[in-house]
Amino acid sequence: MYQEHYDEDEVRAEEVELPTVYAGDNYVEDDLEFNDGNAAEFVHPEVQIPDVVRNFIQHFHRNVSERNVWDLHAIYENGWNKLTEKFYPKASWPEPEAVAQLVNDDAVFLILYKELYYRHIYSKLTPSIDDRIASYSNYCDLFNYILNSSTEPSDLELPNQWLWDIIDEFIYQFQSFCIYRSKVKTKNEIEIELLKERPDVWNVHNVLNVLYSLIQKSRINEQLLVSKNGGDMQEAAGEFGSRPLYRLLGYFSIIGLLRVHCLLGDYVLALKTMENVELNKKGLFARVTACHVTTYYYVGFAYMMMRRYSDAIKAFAHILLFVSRTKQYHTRSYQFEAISKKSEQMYALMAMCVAISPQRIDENVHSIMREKYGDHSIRLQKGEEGISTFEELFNFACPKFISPVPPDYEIAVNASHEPTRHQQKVFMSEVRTQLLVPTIRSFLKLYTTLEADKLAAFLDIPVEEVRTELLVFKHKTRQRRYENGSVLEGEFGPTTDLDFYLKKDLIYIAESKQGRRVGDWFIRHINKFEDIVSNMERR
Amino acid sequence: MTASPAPHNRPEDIHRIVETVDRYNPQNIPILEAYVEQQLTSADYAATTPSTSSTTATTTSTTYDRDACLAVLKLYQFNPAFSSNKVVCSILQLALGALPDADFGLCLYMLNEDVLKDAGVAALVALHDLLQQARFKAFWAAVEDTPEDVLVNRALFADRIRIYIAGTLAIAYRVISIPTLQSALNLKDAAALDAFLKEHAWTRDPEDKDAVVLPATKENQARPVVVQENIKFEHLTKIIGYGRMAQ
Repeated sequence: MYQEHYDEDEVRAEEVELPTVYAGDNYVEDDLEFNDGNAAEFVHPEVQIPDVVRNFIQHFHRNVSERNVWDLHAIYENGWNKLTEKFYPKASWPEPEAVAQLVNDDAVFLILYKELYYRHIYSKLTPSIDDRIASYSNYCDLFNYILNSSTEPSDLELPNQWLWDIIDEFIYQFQSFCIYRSKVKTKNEIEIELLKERPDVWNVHNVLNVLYSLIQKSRINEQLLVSKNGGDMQEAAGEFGSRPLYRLLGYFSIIGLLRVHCLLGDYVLALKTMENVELNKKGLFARVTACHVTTYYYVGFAYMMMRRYSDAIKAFAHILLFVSRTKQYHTRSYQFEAISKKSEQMYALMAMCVAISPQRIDENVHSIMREKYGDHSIRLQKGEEGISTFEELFNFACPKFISPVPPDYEIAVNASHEPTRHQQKVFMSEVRTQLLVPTIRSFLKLYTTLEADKLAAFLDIPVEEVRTELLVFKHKTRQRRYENGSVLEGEFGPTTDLDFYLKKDLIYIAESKQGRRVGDWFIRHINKFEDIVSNMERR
Repeated sequence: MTASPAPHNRPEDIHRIVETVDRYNPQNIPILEAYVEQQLTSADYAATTPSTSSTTATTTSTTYDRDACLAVLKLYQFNPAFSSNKVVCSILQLALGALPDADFGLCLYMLNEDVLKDAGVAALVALHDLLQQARFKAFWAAVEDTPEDVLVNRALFADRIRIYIAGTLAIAYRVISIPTLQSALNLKDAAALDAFLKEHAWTRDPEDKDAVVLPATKENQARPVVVQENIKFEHLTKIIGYGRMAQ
């Protein structure tokens, strides 16, 4: 189930440190060309490229040209990161111009190299405005090459993980740019001039255009429909979509759109994008763990904002259980940090959803949540007192929202937090209307029938208020819940285990109870027993 | 059924805009804006199609088109220069009619602080808060105070909201006192109330002249249930597999 992660013991990055292996003709030729070249051009970087790195880049280049996906896996996930740690923890990788000499100016390879080069700058250093623009142009080159360079599909092949990272990083840099440009106050004149001159850079329309084009070119929606309803996959996929490069980029673009729409506060469109993705079945999203986690984070988040807490909890619980069960696999992955951060955030979101809409969740996930957010959970249920805790958790766990349009550069303010503040405000006003729900629930739990005026006395509010609060309770605990079909669909139903009805001012209360769950236990133990028996038979 | 889907009679040209990337084209703003206004002024605005599910509160307006409304807000979000607070108000008024669905909040998420400062928008947000808090009496009073240009087609709007309020009452009450009902629905006139009761098949309590009996639904009769576990066949395939291996 945890596929596509090659065994790290098998492929060691050190391989690339053995130059003899790669000192083939190409290597020597490159080297010679070098020395013959115009000296003025090489005053700078190459001199500083350590041999190991130079060999690595040439090895990398060869494997890209030979479409050797398996080795690219090792290069991408191991080699690159190890060399980064060793040589470039605080500096950028060799300039693309310098690298061009090593790879015979292979344009496609250079685009891929630049993708990594700028990504490294974003993650380890602070990108300058020039870096941001150059990286954007490079993504344009990359997507132009993939989408528009020819009527034939490209035969380029890249590891799934990398394809996901391309889409992920593309959106991340877009998000980062939106936040960057909205900090007008801390910009100098040159930066502002540059921003004004280039409104096309990281423009929201261009970004969406890339994602929609990838989806269209790969015919991924048609493919998903065929895999759902049956039909001729070859015909649905077409020439482009049947290649892994296009199919996966198209698929990841769907997840990318889900994310972009969430960042813009459009939760309906976010889930609508996922229309053809069947979350309850293992889809392509599960091939790359980072993608799997991202998918559920944003689906869950969108549900939460749509007031479908029960669906949100289900989405979070599902992925958190998966992450906690497969922990040992990704502690070694370079994505480990990102995955743990997202998990932390999802536990926080889940704690909020459970506080608003109390319900049973998976025991493993529940106990971890209690461990991490036990104190928070108690505070969340304390009515007015809980407000600040809701705000704190929301701020920690929400994505960084963005404004799709540039700010007014004439007004020197930093407005980068505005979009997040707005989302939080709307969400909190929703939370505020149901502050009394947990309190009322705790009183009702004690009775089977109760007079409204008695409840009024407990709560210390007028009877009139009690009637409205009871209606709020009913209204808020009744949510749309996913049953089948696309992720956006759902039927109204009660979500709590405690229900009641009123006959004038008399409250009749009923509580649903969970029957004992023994099936799981038996299944587990039968399996264990069979394992023991078969082990014994083998001996 | 889907969550507030597009109405069945959504015009084809609108469909083509909303469901494709054409929804990002600012040139379509006037077309969509006209469509929004049309939803609000249509005589069918308060008419509802009974939902396929058995629940009483799920009724959707026959003309309300959530996705088209959100598409307008998206265009405003990307092209603030074209944004019209008047149309925003119309959309919010339509979204109020979509309760108990959370459409109103979903619209707010797509606006920004500047738009929220608009007096008309703020008035609608206040109305929404009152409905959310089930303060129906205060809601009707606030409707009275809302300017004509913010709430259009008021009589139909009132009918639409009454449907929502009735739905909310119906999930909570089996028997409700008439004064409570009248103030919630803002039907002070006995004849109007009787007409309403007839329409919803609610009846006056024969034993208590001050009460109305609501039909029993899944939601208003709270029965204690013991939730039994469900084991799917797929979970047993491995165990069944052992049996085959043993043979």
